Amino acid sequence: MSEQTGGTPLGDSPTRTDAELLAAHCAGDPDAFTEIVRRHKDRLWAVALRTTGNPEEASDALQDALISAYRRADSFRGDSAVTTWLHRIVVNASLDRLRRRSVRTWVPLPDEGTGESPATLVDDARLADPRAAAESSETVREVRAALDTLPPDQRAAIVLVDLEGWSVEEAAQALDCPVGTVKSRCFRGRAKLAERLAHLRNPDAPGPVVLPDNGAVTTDGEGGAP
Amino acid sequence: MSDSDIGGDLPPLDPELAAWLAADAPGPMPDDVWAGIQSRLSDEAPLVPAGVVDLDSERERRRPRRVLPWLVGAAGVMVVGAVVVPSLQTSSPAPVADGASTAQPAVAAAPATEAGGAVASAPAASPSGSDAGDASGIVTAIPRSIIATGTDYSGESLPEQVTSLLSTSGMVDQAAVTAALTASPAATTMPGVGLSSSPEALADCLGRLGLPPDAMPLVLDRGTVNGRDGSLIVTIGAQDSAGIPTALHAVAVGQDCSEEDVAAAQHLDIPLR
Repeated sequence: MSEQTGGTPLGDSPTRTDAELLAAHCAGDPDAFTEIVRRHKDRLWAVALRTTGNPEEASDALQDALISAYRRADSFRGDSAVTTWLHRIVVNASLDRLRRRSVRTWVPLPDEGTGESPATLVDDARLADPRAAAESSETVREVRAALDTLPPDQRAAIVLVDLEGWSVEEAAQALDCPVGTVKSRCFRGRAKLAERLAHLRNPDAPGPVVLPDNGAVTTDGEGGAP
Repeated sequence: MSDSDIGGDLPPLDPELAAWLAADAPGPMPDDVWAGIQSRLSDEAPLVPAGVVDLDSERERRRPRRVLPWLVGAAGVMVVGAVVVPSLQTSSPAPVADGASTAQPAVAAAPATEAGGAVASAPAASPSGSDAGDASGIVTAIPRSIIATGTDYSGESLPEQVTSLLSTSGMVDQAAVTAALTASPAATTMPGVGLSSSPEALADCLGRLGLPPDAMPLVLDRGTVNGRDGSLIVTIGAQDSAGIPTALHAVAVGQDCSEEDVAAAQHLDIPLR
C-alpha cells in the first residue's frame, strides 16, 4: 500500500485522508488512488449495483468510472468530499449504462435454495427461521423487480436519497439537476414503489403511504406534500 | 411524467418502504470485482506530477503533428495539478487515538478543519453496571434516517467512511444536524434484525454501548463491521447549553449488539462547527 509521499506530515500515523491521497495521486503516487477506492469500495459498489440493477453492468460501470476518475483527478476542485466526487462519477457512469439499455432485462436471480449471487447478500443467513428467510428473500426479489421498473432518473434519486442516505442537495449535485427535481423524482419513485409493493404491506404497521393529488408521497401525519 | 420542481422538504420515507429497501443490502464488493478494478488501475500510468517535465514528452512536444493529443493532456495535468495539489494539502489532520485514521468533514478546503477532525474514542459512560447505560432513558431511539449502504465499517477506514456518510447525507455542520433533529423520525417501526429490529432494541443497544440517554440517533446504516453483519449508528454526541449539537458520535457495532459486539464496537467522535 502507499506510503507517505510528500503529503501533510501526520506524525506517527501512516494514514492519510482522502484529500491527501488524491493530492498524492495527482503528484504521481501510483498507489494513492487505489487506496481511496479501497476505503470506499463497498459503498461505491452498492451505488453502482443499485443504480444499474445488474452485477455485471455495475462492475463495468465502476471500472469505467474509476478509470475516468483516476485520469481526471485534477478536475477535483475540493468543493465536496473526495468520496462524494467519486460517487458522482460512479452514479453518472451507471446512469449512462442504464440509459443505453433500450430494453430492460430482469436481473438474474439465483435458483431457489441454491445460495445467492454476489449481489444477494441479504438477511437470509442471519435468520434462523426458514420461513422468515424465505419471506426475506421474496421481499428482496420483489423490491428489485419494483426498482427495475422505475425510470433511470427516478431510480437514481431513490438509490442516492433513500438507500444511500444522501441529502437531497448532494443528490442534486451528483445528478446535475435542481434540488426540487430530485424531490420530485423521489416522490414519484416512492409512489410507484409503494404501489408495486403494496401487497407486502403489513396492515398493522403505521404510516401508510398516501398519494395526494399532486403526486407527492407522504406519510400519515405529514399533511401532504409541501 | 414530468420532473417539475417541488418546494418544501422531502417527507420521511414510508417506514415499510424503508424496510423493504433496506432488506436488499448489496453487501460488500465481490472479490472478483475488486480484483478487476485493481488490475485496471494498476495498468494506468501514474499522473505526471505538477512541475515535472518528462523528457520524452518534451522531445515529442517538438513534433506537434504526431503528439498534439499527448501535449494537451500533459499540459492539462500540469496546470490543474499545480492548482489542486497545494489546495489539498493545506489541512493538518487532527490526532487520532489508537492509530485510526484522520478525517475532516467535507474537504480540506473547509474552513474549520482544525476542529473538524473525527476522533476515535469510547464513550465516558461505562456500558456495564445497573445504572450505566440505562436504555429506558433513551426514549426515541428511532433514527431520522435508516439506510443500507452495504459499507464494511472497519478499523482505520472508519473515520473516512463516517465522514463520507455524513458528507453525503448533508450532516456537516450544526445547522444541518439541528435541522435533521427537528425532522420527524424516519419511522415508527424499524426494519431489520438485531439492534435494528425495533426502537426498543436500538435503545437497549445504545445503552449497553455506554451512550447517554440523550444520544439521539440520527442515522442507522446497515452494512457490516469488520466483515460481519452490523450497523453504523450516528447519534448526537454533545450539545451546548442551548441544546445546539456540538458533536456527533458514531459507533460501528455488530448486528446482535451482544456483549462481544459491544466490546468490539468502534467509536468515533465528530466535532461539529
